[in-house]
Amino acid sequence: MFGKLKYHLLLAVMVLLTATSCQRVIDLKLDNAEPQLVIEGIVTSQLINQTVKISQSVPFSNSNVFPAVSGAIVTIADNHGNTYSLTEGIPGTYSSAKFQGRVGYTYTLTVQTNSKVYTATSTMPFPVRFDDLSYKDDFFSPDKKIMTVHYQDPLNVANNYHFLLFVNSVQAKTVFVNDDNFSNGKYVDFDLYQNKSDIKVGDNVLVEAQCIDRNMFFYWFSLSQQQDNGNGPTPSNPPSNLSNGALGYFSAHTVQRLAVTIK
Amino acid sequence: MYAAAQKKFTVSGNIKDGATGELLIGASVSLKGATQSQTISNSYGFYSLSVPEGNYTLTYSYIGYAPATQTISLHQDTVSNISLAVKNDLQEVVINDKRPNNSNLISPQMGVEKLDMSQINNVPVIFGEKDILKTISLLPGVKAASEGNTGYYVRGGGSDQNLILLDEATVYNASHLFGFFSTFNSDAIKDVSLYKGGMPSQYGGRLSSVLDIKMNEGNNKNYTVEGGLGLISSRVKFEGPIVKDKGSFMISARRTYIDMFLKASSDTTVKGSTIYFYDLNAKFNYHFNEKNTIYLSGYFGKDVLGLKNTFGTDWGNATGTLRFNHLFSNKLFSNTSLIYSNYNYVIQSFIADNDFKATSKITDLNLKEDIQYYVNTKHTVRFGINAINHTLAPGNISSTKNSSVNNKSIEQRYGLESAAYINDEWHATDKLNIQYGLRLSGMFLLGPGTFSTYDAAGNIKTSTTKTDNGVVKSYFNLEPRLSASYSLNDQTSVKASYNRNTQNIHIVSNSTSSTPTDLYVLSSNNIKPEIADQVSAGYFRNFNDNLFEFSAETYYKWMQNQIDYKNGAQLIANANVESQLLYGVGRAYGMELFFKKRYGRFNGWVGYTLSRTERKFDDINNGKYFPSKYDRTHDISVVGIYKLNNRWTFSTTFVYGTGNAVTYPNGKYNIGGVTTYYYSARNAYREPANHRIDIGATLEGKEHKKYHSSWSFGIYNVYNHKNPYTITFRDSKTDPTKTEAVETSLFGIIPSVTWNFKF
Repeated sequence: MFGKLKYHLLLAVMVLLTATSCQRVIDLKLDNAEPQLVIEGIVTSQLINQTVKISQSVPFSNSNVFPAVSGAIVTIADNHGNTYSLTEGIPGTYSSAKFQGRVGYTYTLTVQTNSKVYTATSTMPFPVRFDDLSYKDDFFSPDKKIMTVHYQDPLNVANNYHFLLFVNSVQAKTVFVNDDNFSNGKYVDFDLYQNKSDIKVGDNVLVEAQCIDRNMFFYWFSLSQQQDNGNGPTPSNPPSNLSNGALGYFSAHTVQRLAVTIK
Repeated sequence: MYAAAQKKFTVSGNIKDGATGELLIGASVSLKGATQSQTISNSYGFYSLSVPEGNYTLTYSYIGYAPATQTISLHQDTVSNISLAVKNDLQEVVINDKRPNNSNLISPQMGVEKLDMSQINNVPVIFGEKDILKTISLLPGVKAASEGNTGYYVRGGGSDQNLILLDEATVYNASHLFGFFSTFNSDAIKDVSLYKGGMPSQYGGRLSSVLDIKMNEGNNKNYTVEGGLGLISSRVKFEGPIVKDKGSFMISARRTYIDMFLKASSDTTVKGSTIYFYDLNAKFNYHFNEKNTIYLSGYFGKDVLGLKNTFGTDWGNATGTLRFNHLFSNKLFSNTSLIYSNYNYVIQSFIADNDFKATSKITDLNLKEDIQYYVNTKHTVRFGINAINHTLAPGNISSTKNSSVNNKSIEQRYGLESAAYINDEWHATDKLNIQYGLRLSGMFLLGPGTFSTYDAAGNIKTSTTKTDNGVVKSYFNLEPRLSASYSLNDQTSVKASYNRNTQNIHIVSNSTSSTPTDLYVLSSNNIKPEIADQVSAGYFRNFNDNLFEFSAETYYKWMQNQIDYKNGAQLIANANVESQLLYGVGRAYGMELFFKKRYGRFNGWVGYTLSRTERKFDDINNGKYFPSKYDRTHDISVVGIYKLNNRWTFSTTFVYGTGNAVTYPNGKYNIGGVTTYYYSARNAYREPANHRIDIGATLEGKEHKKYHSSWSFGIYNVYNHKNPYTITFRDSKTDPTKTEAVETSLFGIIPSVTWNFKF
């Protein structure tokens, strides 16, 4: 919250002070890192085929095509004796049989590929009900809208939230994350500030609201700082809960979807 | 025991500006006769020399003033006060350029830069706002934090490792508007000295450097009003005698008016926004008699920034210094100071249901006793004690009932930073001068409060609550300081120095630009005092009767207990902020070359620095050394000032610096549909180099009996070079299957004009 504020203020100063500031695309020669293994594993509170995606990183100058990693052995186990095997459908995407993640259960992901084993655990947090999704005019350009999610933060638990924003079914490429450090027990109106996808009258907006565990909060928070337009901390890889140096995360979270059409 | 053979007497006094009565700091006094000796005036214009009885000629000289001589026959202790006249006649400067002194060679002090205010006033700067912090970044070994920024790095240290003193009071945030302007209104400034190394032992508390700024005392002969109207701000200064020749005052104020332009905007958001800063400097002094003088000075400045009905923030420093100069004898000069300093910020949100007000404050009360003892021609001893009481209120959040933000208060922290020091400037032989000293610093973290320690993961390991104001944790450090100069001949000397500095108040900020929300923490159970050891050696040579000066200095610095941050560190309003920190070591080394033409119609300098500064942390960069963000391999500054005639003065600066060490991605991957960057090595890349030329011109108005006026013109970044401010990465807007690097640059070519007046 304060980070956003600082960002807005700095932005405002720059806009006001420097009519001469300018942006241009430049050509940089960047080293090509060895391909890194990327695992994105999710267990949600919905009764669905839970999925794990495994891919590889590519050099910066390549196209945004990320090679799938096939042939991995992927299982998800909970701390109540259940183990689910995941099978590969489209290359690199592994799905379980339908099951529902349960509140308070701790899930362990195990991925075996290329004779290495990667594991991660995540605990499904207590679900918080999201009451409403509303919108209001952007402060800077009133023809654009800012979405707001409304919910009552529970007093006695530490809560962590992550939101995905879709505008006309296209995901906005911004990380939205919040905890209750400043708002424990309060009724919260959380604004989804972003400048990547303009929201205008007539747009269909969908928000997937998730309750995540604390490690995942740090992961998303750290990732959101990568987007701080160069004024944030020195960029670094977000702290992954996966072992053995894999990139990505494994998250057990609750899911609730809210939709609205901008009028 | 030769001294006993002949009776010794002391000649002492004050050196002043003849027109205004301002005391001159660092003016040189040389005495010739049966024996020879020389000294310089202290911060209060006082000098003292003790020599055997006899007849002597005293010569007083100071940059920009006509030298004065006086013959005395010394048969008893003598007071000789002198007033020097400003030398502003161009002809005189050219023809009668009295040989300037070579005290830069003889003084054992190394790594010191003294700025002449008239030079600062002539150096072109952005928006025409003359600025001492931007001008010092043109000196070798000093690097501007970023373009247009008043933050600076000295010999590989961070900007929080610089001690900035305004009339002895610590200024915590020396920048206005996120660093585009400094808090120092140069109208009110009399003297600026920057110590990059070999600090004398009276200075301490920061690792890297000391910037010692003294305010004008005010004219004690006549009332004058002067000021200026610029593009960004206007300023006015009023000074005059309280009692003629006895006491004077100076009040100087400045305010920006960018917000006036905003009101004219057609955009309603811009129209409803606020952005301005102002500052006020004031000083009063009164000489009771030859032995007693009292000074009261203060600074107050504030920035106010707001977006219509949305956000607002303001921040500012306040300092106050009460000083009492007392001469116990003509050899024993005492200065007692009571100093207050305060920095605070407020952030407010006015958004319905999300409103809050967050405040943070740091308050210091500092008591200081400093004594200078002019023992004899061989020794000048300086010793003293000081104690600073720190009160830190890191964060206090309040909100209305319907707000989604809770009231929250991070408990205050109390600390006592104390020091005792002694320093001797020893004129060992005619060729060898040594300055040696010792500083004992003691840091006491005090209760009440809850004090925790943390494990590597940042979880609380132990937690104790102290209810009284007793000592929670204490640290003592001995800081030896030594520097020596050896004159090879009249024109050449070599110098060497060693100094240890420690720091017990640390800034916590992981953003790359300076922001008003930077948080301060004291050394604690977790944070150990930062320690730096620096050795340096230098070669100094003057040419053409001291018209030109050249120096080459090299240094190597080791730093312990340096602070960095964990990934995704949460620093704001976090009671356990110390759990977010990492500790490591640093090293910095380099060479600084400086060539200066000190006088004449054309003067200026060229500075070049070759340097490297690195940090090492267990949890960053796999525990290997990496270039710190302060690392700049090459740094070049050229300053030229040319006085065409009595009316026109032209100036230009050129700067070139290796780009900042930055972390760029060397891979990318997909997380939840968003392109995410993979980083492997910290600060392994370089931004493109920074360079630009600024030019300025000053036109003095025709002489009038009643007033004087001048115009200053400037062009910043003459060839409109796009210097990088930030470089970010994104999916290409034209081809979303590709990623691209985007460079943002702030300032292109910017002209400026200021009208200055004086009554």
